[in-house]
Amino acid sequence: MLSWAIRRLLLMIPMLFGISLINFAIINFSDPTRTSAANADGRVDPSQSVEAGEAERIFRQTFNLDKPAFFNTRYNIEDDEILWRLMTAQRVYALPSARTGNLKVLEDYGRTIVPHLVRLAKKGRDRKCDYDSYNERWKAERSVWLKHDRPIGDIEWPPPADAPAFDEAFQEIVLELALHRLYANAPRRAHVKYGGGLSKEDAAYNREVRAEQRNLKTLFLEGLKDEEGRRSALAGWSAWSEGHADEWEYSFWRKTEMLFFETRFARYWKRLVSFDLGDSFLYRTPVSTLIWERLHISLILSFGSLILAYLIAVPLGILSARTHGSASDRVVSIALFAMYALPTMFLGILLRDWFATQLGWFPVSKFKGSGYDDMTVVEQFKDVAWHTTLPLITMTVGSLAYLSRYMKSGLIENLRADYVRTARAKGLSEFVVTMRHAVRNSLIPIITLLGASLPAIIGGSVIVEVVFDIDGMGKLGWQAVLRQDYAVILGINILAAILTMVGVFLTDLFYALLDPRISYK
Amino acid sequence: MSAPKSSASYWEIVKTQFRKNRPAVWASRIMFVVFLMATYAPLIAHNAPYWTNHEDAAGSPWLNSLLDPSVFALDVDIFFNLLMGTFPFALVIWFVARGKLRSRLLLTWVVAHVALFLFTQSIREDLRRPVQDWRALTAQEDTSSFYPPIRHHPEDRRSEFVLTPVFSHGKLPAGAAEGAVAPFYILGSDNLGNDVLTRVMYGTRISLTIGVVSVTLYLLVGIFLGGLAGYFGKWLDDLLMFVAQVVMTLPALFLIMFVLSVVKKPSIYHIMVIIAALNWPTVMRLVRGEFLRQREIDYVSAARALGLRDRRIIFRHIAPNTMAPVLVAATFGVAVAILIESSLSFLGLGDPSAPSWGQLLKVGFENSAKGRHLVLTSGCAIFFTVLILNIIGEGLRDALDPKARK
Repeated sequence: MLSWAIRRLLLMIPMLFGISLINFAIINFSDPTRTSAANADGRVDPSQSVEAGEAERIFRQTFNLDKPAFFNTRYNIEDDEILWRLMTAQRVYALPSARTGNLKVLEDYGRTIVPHLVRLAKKGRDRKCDYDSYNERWKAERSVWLKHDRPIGDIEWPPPADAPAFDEAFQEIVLELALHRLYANAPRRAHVKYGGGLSKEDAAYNREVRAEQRNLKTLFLEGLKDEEGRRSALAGWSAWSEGHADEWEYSFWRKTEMLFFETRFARYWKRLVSFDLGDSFLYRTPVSTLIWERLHISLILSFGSLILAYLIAVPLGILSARTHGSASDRVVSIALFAMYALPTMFLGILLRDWFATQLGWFPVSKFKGSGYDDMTVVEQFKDVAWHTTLPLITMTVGSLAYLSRYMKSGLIENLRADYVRTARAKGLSEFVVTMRHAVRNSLIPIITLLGASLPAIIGGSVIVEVVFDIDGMGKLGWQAVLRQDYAVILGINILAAILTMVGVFLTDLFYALLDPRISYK
Repeated sequence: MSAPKSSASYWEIVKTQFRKNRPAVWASRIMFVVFLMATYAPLIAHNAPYWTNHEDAAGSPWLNSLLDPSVFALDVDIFFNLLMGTFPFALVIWFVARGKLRSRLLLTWVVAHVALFLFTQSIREDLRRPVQDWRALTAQEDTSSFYPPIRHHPEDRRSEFVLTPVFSHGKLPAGAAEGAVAPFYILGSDNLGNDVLTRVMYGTRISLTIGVVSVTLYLLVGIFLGGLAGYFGKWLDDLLMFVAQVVMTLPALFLIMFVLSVVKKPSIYHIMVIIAALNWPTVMRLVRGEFLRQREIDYVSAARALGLRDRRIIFRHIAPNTMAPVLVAATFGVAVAILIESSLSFLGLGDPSAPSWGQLLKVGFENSAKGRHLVLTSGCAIFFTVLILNIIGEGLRDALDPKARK
């Protein structure tokens, strides 16, 4: 038994792995930010402001979307690749999707490409950039783009044949763009932590980062002035990057680490294992706090309705099995059958309209009254019970019908079994035969249903919480979905999966304890 | 009904048993009527006249609008509008042909209908006509025209008649022209000025499509994987059962919400695929269990002794014998899919362009003071459809269960 329990617990690890893998696949391969910069037909959305772009960048960094999915080979990027992306991202005649795409890749590279940018800027200054090979690639790609042959915005398309050959200008543009990109990519970001102070090391790190940001900004502003300014700024950048040169020196170990661990996949798991669910951008609070505040509400609703359903369903099932075929049984059966088909939200709205809005017997919404904190414990309990009556009824109705039908058919089958006939033959009273013998055996499959209905119950409180405006986990998740607060969604998803698994495990355990025929080895 | 003859085939016995179950028979009849209502909805409710003699549009604007994407923007509507024309052929086949010929002809009919639909989709844009306000055109003098009984379209959007109560005329705006007649709304109008009855009728199309398509999808996946797991067993069985277990542990509603939030513009196709992706394990486990049972029966050994290939044994010999529980699961599955879709629409995660029942429910919920008729009509539509499907499923289960036979 014990070894079985341990094995089941261990099996939960690969299951959790599988569930997390599904979550990872959804968030990473659909990349929520991918479509926002350029919409479906590749045009850049002019309404997207600088702040939105910055918010998106922070979002990408928090979810590690700026890193490659599985293998990070950014230690051997070629200068030419950077040059190509840098120039194409700015070129008027490039397709907008090519422009935003390249820009995004450059942003994603982050600090990794600082030495490349410094080198490129120097080459530009010395008029040594390889214009010809760039132009070859441009011509090749342009012929592909030309197949899209359509005018885009105000830009003349296809580009005029005598578009200026700009070898000389090219070099200066490379220098200018590289300096811009350096300022966009080089500064580190300060740690942000909601709900709770920063640790001392983090604060020290933040001070250091802010000083560096100021320093780099002066360099950037200097580079904006004129040609002379650009050259002196470049000198500053190159001095700064030499000061940090060890960051971009890749030893064998560093490369291995980068290849496998600086990836979305590895970071995702690191966060999961350390129970770091991130911060909600909507509430500016750690997700774990948000969930913790609401978890008990959802659990009260789910388990309350579960207990209620069992308490009503089992006697009801026994009763209708005993009176099988009679008029009262017919009525009960039909009523239960109808209840099973009732959509939760429909029932919820109806109950709310009749019993809360019109009759005023119950509150319309919320989990507890306004003066909750000043009440005594008994009053608090009464208050919560009063508030949760309608939600609990709404949640119970569906599972109630299902459970009692199951109970009834199981009991009828058991009452026909040979051992029941034997018990009757022994002269036991009908009550003892039913309660002691038949009911006991028909309870067992009902208990297994508990495990099967757990996922539905944990997810099932969403609708009730929305209808009755209860601030539980379900409503939190729902709002997060509508406002695209991914950290919250991910957190709730994982937590709900864990809860479900634990529930299924406990059900199996009960099952084994109740049914002597089952022994787990 | 006479007792089944000893020579009756399995499905004939099932049919006889099913016919003994009066509620189930009535439920399937009602379901057929609901299906007809969904298919022939434009015949009952449409804002274009069947026929008019107005000089700009003499002829039948109704007929012309059926495949027009500016009138019926949804693929589902086009599918059902085509079905209005092709369904009589299916009926003729059903009543004229018998036995194997019937099933072959019906299959041909299905293929032909889908081909016709795909062809229509491919020339979709050529069928677009300028939008016209038929009501205004036919209201002119010396025009006579003949309208469907309900002169509304599900996407009417007559913003002047918002949230009209049940069984009443819309309220004319203050400066309305003299002699203007406000439209009549049998079940009231919604927050955009659409007739609720019309929307419920057209919503049937969407609910039925989502139910049937998603169930078909997961039946295919579930039967295939279940067959693999049950027939070959060993590590494949372990692996597939493990995956099924993981999928069944997922909190469905949260996961669906998650996926739909990533999709950004959810369409009914997304919803179908997600419902299918979360429900295949049930079917897979059913089929696997049946396969494990059937594999040990002698006819399979006989087939193997004849030297038949695995593929033939699986698909020709075992699979047909495992279909009984799958059929029951499919009937209940359609009901569950309809419930899931309406829950999603209610939560604001459905296809915003599709006039589904859940969406009406949501609008009614948001306008709780004036929108009670919305909640009642759409809620009852969902309730009765699910109830009817459940009764049919129950009847099928009893008919297929040898223990329950009388």
